[in-house]
Amino acid sequence: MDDIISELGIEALEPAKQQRIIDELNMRVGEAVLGHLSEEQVREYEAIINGDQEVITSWLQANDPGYADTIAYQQLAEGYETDPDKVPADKVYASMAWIEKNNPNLGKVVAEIKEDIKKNLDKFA
Amino acid sequence: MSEQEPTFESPKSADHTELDRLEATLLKKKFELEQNEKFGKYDSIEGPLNEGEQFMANSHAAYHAQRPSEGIVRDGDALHRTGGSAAGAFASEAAYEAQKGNPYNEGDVANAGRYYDGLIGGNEVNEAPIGTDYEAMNPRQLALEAAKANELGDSAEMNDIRETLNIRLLNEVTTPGTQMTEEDYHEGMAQYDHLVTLAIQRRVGKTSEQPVATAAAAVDTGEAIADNAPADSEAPVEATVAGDTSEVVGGDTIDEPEARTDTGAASGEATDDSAPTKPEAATEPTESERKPGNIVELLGTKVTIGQILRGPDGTVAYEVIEEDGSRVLAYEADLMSVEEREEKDSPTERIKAFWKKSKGFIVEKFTLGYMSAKWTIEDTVINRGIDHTTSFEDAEKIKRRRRTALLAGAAAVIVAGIVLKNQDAVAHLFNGGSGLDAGVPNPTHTAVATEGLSAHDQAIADAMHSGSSGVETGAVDPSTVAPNIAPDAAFNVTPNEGGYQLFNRLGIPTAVWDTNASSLLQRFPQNFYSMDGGGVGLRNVPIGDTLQTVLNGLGKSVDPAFTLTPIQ
Repeated sequence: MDDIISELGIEALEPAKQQRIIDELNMRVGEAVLGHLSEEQVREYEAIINGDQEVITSWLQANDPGYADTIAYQQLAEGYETDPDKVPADKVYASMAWIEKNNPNLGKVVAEIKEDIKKNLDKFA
Repeated sequence: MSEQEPTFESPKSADHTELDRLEATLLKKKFELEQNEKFGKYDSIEGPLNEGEQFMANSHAAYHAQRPSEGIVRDGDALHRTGGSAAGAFASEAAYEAQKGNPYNEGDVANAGRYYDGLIGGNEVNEAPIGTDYEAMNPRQLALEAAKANELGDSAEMNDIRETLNIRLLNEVTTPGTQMTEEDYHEGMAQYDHLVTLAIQRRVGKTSEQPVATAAAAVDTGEAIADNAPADSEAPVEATVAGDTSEVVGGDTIDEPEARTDTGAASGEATDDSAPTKPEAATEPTESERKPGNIVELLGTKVTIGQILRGPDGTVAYEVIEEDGSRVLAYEADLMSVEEREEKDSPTERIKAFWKKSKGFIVEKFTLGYMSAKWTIEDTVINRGIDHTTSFEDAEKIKRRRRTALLAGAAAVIVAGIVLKNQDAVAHLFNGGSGLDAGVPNPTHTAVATEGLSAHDQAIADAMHSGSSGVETGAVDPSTVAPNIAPDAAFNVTPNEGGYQLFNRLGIPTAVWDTNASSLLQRFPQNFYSMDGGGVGLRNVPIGDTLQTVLNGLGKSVDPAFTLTPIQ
């Protein structure tokens, strides 16, 4: 969060305005990463973030069968028992891996949107 | 012939002649003796020894052992260089100790030599001490300077040094937009005071002839130093009891690297270059590498361990010597052996460190609380452009798509951040993204920044621009962006159905209804209403996607106490 605030150069703004800008960033990035995909793909992603275990499991098996051995998954799963929110590691892992798999140029896309928002910060004043 | 007074020169007796000779010899011997004394010829060189049986650094013995044996004469208080270009040195032990109070001395032999050279070279000694550009010093260096001032009894200088850091931190904490908190400021000053205590201990340990009482007083001035009123430190700490080689300092001993504990996984992480990392609890190192003379890393720079110090509270610190000879203090958490560094630099460890650090921030985006808050707050980008002219069905499609996009965007920004900041390690983050086994570099990722726009990229760009014409994006045609997902028939409200019935039908414990009814009313007045008796009623209208999601969330919540956050 602090990194994004710093990247956008909005440290001096009120928290509410910062959040509004970050929401804008997330929304536009989200539209960009989903906008080129089919309805079926988007529905699949919705199911994943909504915690549909069947979809999550099948997607991981099909696309990343060795996910349980990855450092990312193991770190996300660590401490689950004591996590008050009980956020399933496979849901978080699949949500991020799905984004990455379906957007090979993600870094460039996000960077461009960030730059555009930085140029138009006055519109959030 | 004039008469002249007779002169009576009685010839000296042989005895008188001998007496004169002896007196002259005595005078000569006295002069020679005095010169030799002043030159330190008869000084004891039995100084404190370190673990290597060498004279301890910064002691007169060490200085004496390396100084030139001739070329210096001392006449009263004046020093004269003889012997052409012979390098000078200080004379007696007393002179050596006295010069430690001069501004050129930094407590080591080389600096003492420079100071002397300055004197005998006829240069006017600059009152501004070398190495006292406090503004340019980090807290460790300032602490050493403060300890030096303490040893000289110069409490005013100690105040100045502390104030330098105080002003620096105050400026930082009061700078608009700073991430430094007031707590950080106080912590920084507390760490500095702690460092001063250790630095004083180091100096006391350096001249281990210290009488125990004096040494203890010096170490115990921690609080007083912090208050800039060090009553005990007014008196110079001087080596007054030669021969007392006790290494007892402040009730503790100069540490021999024996009993040690684990260094902890946090070594080197998140350490500020200018601020020492004080351990959370008193710790003792267990690493065999933590021995005087061994090379370790201090914040990425190779240093040599000098002395090992243990503070009054048991905290272990190290005096480490940098490549340029300067000495700084470091805590255990700041140090890292070569082996530890190599392990930490391995891709596996770096990725682990990344996930450990980022996990909380990432997982938060997938908690029910976060998702519910994002999906139900009215004044967000989700509802932008939706007004009374938008049909219910269209509005729900738009909002459904937007909240999915909002969460996808949050995840995407995180993943993109990983890609950008971990270029060489990103292939290890997700197996699925690359289709490769873990540990095999993924060419797709490394090519992210160099590829041109492909048809696929163009599609992304088109999608971006379709909704990014400006911040004030208007309503989006749901037919072009929203997936057409049929509503779940279970959410159809039947006539006269209430909240209890709905929750029962959805399999949600009715206790959850009791807990959340008022929040649901606040957030979804189109679906709920306040009944005359004070209860919350359910309107016989379609349940939109947002409410469906919230109800699903309430039903899946593993925590019976989960509640929607009331709108403030």
